[in-house]
Amino acid sequence: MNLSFSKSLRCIVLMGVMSFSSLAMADVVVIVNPANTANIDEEQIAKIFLGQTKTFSNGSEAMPVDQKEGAVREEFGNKLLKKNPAQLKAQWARQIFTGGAKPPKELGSDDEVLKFVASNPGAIAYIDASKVNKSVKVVKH
Amino acid sequence: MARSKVLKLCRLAAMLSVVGMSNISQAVDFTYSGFGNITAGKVFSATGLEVGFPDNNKWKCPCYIADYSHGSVYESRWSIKPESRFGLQGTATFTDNLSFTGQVMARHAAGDAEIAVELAYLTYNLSPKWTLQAGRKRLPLFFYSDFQDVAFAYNWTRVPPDVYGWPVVNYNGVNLTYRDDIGGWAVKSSAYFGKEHAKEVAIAKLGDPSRVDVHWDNMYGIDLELNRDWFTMRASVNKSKQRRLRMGPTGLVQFSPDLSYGKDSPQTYSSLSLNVDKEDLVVRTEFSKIDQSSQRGSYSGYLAGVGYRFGNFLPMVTISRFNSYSGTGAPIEVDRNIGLTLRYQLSDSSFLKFQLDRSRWDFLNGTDNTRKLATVSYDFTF
Repeated sequence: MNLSFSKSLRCIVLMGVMSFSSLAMADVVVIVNPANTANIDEEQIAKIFLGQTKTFSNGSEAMPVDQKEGAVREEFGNKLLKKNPAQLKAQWARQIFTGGAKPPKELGSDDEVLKFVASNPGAIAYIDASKVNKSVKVVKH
Repeated sequence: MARSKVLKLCRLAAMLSVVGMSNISQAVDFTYSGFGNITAGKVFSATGLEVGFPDNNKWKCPCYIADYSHGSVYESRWSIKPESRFGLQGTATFTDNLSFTGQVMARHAAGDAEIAVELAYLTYNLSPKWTLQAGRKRLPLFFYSDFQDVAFAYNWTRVPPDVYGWPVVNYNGVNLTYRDDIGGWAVKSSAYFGKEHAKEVAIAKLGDPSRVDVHWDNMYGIDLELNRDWFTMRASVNKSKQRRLRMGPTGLVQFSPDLSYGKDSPQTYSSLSLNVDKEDLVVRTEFSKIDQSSQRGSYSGYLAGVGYRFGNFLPMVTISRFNSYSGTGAPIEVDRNIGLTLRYQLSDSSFLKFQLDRSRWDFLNGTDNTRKLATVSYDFTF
C-alpha cells in the first residue's frame, strides 16, 4: 500500500512539474554561433529546419539542431515552422522514406545545444529563452 | 525521424581494427525507421455492367481496384489483405556526405504475400545544394508516387487510383538533386535516368492470369518543386521506351508494342500538382497526362480535394477522373471517383482514417458500372 501510495504521489508530483515546466517553456529563442554574420529571418529559419535549404543567406553551410521531443520543440514547431508535431512528422516521413532531405541532428538538452552552437560556426538551434548565455547569439525571439 | 533509433556500431568498428581487418577509424551510424498501415475495406454497393476486370476467376466481383500498381482489389466482404503493408528502412552513414539507404516492404500484392526491396541506394552530397544518388529508388512520376506506400504522410487512406495506377513504381539508376532558397522560394529539382524491368507486374495480374513483364528502358525525367509558406507546386516529366512481354509456351514473347512496330514504343508521363496548406485549410490538386504514341493511345487524369482541420479531425472531399483515348484520339472510357475522408490524429505518429468512395466506370457505349467502397485505416510511423 505504502509503495503504491508513494508511486502515485511521485506520479502526481511529476505531472505537476511537467505541466509547470511546459507553462514556463513558452518562450523559445533561435540561436546561432556568435561568428555567424548571415542575415537570418523567420522564413529562412523555417526552410533550414524543414530541410529545404542547407545554406545561410551568405552561402555558408547551416547545421540545424533539433531538441528532443518536448515542450520546447513543440513551441518552436508551432511558432516558427507553423506546424504541429504530427504535421512535422508527416512532412519528414515523406523526406525520409523517399531519400529526400535528412532531419536535423537531435540533441538531448539545452546545455548540449548551447555547447554545440558555441563550438560550430554553422550551427543554428533553439532553446528556452531563460537558458541563453554569452556563448551564443540570439537571432529570433 | 525524431524517434529513429540510433545504434552506434563503434564496437564493431573497434573490433575490426583490433583484428587488423580494417582501418576503420570512424564510427558508422546506423539509423532505422519505418511505417505501415492496417487497412480494411469492403465494397458495399454495386450496380451496372460486370466487365470481368479484375479477373473474375481470381476475385469475387463486384470489386473496387484501390491500387492498380500493386494489384489491390476489394471484394464485397471485409478484408485487410489488399492494402495493409509494412515498411522498414535503414540508413548507414559512413561520413557526413556518404550514406547507404535500404527499404523493404511487406504486403499482399495482387493477392500474393510479397516482400520486396523498394529502395537500395547510395547518397553522396556533392555540396550543400547538390546531392547525387545511385541505386534503386521509387519512380517519382507524380506528387505522391515515391511515398505512395507511406499512408501516414498524406491525408487519404490511399492516393486516388485514377491518377496513380501504372505498372512501374521503381527504377534503377542515378539522380541528381538541387535544393536551394531562391528569392524566398524553397526550390527542389531532380534529374534522373535509369531503367526498370518489372517482372510479373501486379497490374497485369488484374486481367491476365499469365506472367507479364514490363520494361521501361532509356528512362529519364526531371521534376521541379516550389514551396513558399502555404503553397506548393510540383511539375514532372518522364520519358522512356516501353515494351511488354507475356510468358507463353516458348518463353517470354513481346506483345506490346506490336512486333511490326518495333522493339519498343516511346511514352511520356507528365504531371502538375498544386497544393495549399493555409492554416487549417488543405487543398490538393494534380493533373496527369500520359502519351503512349499511336501504338497504345493516351490518358489524362486529375484529382482535386479540399479539407479543413478541426483540432485532431481533418474531413476531406476529393474528386478524381481518368480519361482513356485510343491511338487516334477517340475517347474510350471515363472513370470518375468521389471520396469522403475523415482523418483523426490518434497521436503525433498515428492516424485513424475512414473513407467512403464511389467509383463509376463509363465505357462511353451506353454501359457503365458503379462501385461503393468503405475503408478504415490505421496509419503509423516510427
